[in-house]
Amino acid sequence: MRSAKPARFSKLARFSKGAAWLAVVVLVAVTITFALSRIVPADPARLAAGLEAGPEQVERVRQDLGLDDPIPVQYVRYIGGLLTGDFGDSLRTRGPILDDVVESLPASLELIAVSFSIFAVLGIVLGVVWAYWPRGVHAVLLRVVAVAGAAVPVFWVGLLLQILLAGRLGWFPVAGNLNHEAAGIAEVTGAGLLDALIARSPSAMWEAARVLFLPVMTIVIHNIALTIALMRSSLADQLDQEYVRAARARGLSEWRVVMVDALRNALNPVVTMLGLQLGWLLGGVVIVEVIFSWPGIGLYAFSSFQAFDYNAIMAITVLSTAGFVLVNALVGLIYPRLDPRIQEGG
Amino acid sequence: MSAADLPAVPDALAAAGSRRAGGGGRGVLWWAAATALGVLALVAFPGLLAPGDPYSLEVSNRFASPGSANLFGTDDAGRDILSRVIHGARYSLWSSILIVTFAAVVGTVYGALAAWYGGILDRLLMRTVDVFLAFPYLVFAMAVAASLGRGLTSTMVALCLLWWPSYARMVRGQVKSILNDYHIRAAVTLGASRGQILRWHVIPHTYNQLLVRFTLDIGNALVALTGLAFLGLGATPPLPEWGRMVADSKQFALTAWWYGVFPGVVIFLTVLNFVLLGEALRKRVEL
Repeated sequence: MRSAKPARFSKLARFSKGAAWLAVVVLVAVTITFALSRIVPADPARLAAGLEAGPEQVERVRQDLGLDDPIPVQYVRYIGGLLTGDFGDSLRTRGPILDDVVESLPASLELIAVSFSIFAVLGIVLGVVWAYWPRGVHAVLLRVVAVAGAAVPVFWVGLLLQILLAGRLGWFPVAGNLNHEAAGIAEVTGAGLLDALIARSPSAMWEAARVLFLPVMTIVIHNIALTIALMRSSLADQLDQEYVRAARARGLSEWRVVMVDALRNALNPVVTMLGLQLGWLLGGVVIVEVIFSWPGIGLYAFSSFQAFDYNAIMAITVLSTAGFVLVNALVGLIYPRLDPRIQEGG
Repeated sequence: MSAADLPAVPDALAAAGSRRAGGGGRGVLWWAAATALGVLALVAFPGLLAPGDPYSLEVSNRFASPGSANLFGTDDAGRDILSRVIHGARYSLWSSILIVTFAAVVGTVYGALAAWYGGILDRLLMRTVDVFLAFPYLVFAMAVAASLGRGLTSTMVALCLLWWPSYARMVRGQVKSILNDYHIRAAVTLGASRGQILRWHVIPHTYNQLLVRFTLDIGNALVALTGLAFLGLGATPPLPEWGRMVADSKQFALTAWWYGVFPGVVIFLTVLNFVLLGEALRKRVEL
C-alpha cells in the first residue's frame, strides 16, 4: 500500500518469475517424456512405416523422421520445433499434431467448462447451506455425498450411469457427441452448445444438452464432493470467529454477516481448491471421455497411447502440463482480490 | 507453485466434518486392526477365502447371474467374479499399498534431509519437488506407463514416481517446525549427534501425521491405479485386477450388469474404508 511504482515493478517481477517457472516445468516435462519415448521397447519407425513394410522401407522412414540421428540432435531439434509451435506429425492420423489437438479441443473445453461451472456453483451453495444449518436430514445427505462422492471411482460411476440412464431407461444417448448434421446446424466452434446457440436452434440446443448430460454428471458427482466438504468446513470456521459475533452485535443483517463478511473470507481456500480441480480436470477428463466416446482431447490422448503414437503422447503431456501450471498461476492472481492481506509484493 | 501450499485433498476430505465418525476412543484402533487383518488375509491367503478358482474357464456357465452357485455371477469366460475379486486384492490393493509405502519412505527421507540441511540444498530439493507437483498426474502417469510397456509393474513405477513429492513436502514442513522445538535444543546442548537427533528426536514426531496420510492415500492410490487399469494401463489379462475387470465388463454392460458392478462396489467400499479410517485416525491423533 505504498506508492504505485514499486507495486508495478513487483507485478512485472512476479510475472517474469511465473513465466520462468512455467518454462522450467515444461522443459522438465519435455525432457522426461522425450527420454521415455527413446527408451521404449517399440520401434517408432516400424510403427510409422506400417505392418507390411519391408526392412528397407522401415529404414527409409527412419531416415525421413530423423530417428537415425544421435539422441541429443533429436532432442535439440524437438525443442526447436516446440518453440516454433511445431509438435511434429502424428504417426496415427499422419497429420500435424497441432491440427488434431485444435480439432478435438473444443469438445473437451465444452465438457470441462459446463461441468466445472455446475460443480463449483452448486458445491459452494450446498457447502454454505450445510455450514449454516449443520443439523437435519440435509446435513446427513450432504455428508454422504461429500464422503461417497470422493471415494467412488469415476470410471465406475460413468459406467453405472451409462447402464442405468442410457441403457435401461434410454433417457440419454449411450455415447458420442452431438451430430451437427443430424441436428441441422453448422459446425462453427466444434462445441455443440455454442454452435446451437449461434444457429439459434432450440432443438439442437436440447440435443446438445442431452448428449452432455451423462459425462457432465459423472464429473460433477466426483468433484462436487470436495467442494462441498471444503466450503462447509471453511465457512463453519469463519462463523465461529469473533468478528462474526461482533458484526451481529452491531446489528448488521444476517445476510450481510454470513454472505458478505464470512463467506468472503471462507472462499479463499475453496477458490484454491477449485483451481486445482480445474487443473486436474485437464487430465481427469480422459477417463470420462473414454467411457462416453466423447471426441475430445482426452479420447485423442487415449487413442494415441493405444497406438504408441509418441509424438502425440509427448505433445499432450507438454500441453497439459503447461495448462496445469497456467491454471494454477491464474488462481494465484485471484487471491489478492479475495484477501487484501495478500499483497502483490508478497 | 500455489499447488504446493495447499491443503492436500485428503485433508479437505477429512475436514468434511466428521463430528462423530471415529470420535476417538478404542474403536478406531480396533477398526484399524480389523482393516490390516482383512488386507493381510486377502493378500496372503486369497485361496482360503475365495469359493473357487479365479482363472478356471467354464464357457458353458458364462454370464451366470448372481445366485447361490456364483454369489457375484460369472463373466464372459464363465469365471466366478467373487473369486476373481478376492484374488484381485493381491494386485489392486496390495499394489496401492506398495506405491504409498514407497512414496512415504522416500518422501520422508528426502523431506527430512532437505529440512535438516537447509540453505541452498533445501531450496534445490524443494524446487525439484515443486516441479513434480506441477505435473498433471493422470496424463503423466499415462505417458510413463505407456512408455515403459504395458503391465502392472510399469504402472506402479509411474505412480511411485509421481507420489513421493507430496510426502517430501509434508515431512519437510513438519521437520522444520520440530527443529525449532525446545527438546531439540536440549538434545543439541547435551551433545547428541545429528543422526541421533534426526533419528530419535525428529522423525518419531512425524509418525502420527504420516500414518493418517498413509491411510488416506491408500484409497487415493487405489483410485489412481484402478483408473489407469481401466484405461488399459495396468495388469494384463488374465490377472483379476479390479479396474481391468470393470473395463472388460464395459462391452457387456447391458447384458450382464453384475460383471462391472461388483468389482466397482469392492473398489468403492475399499476406498471408503481407508478414507473413513484415515479420518478417524486423524481425529484420534489430534486429540
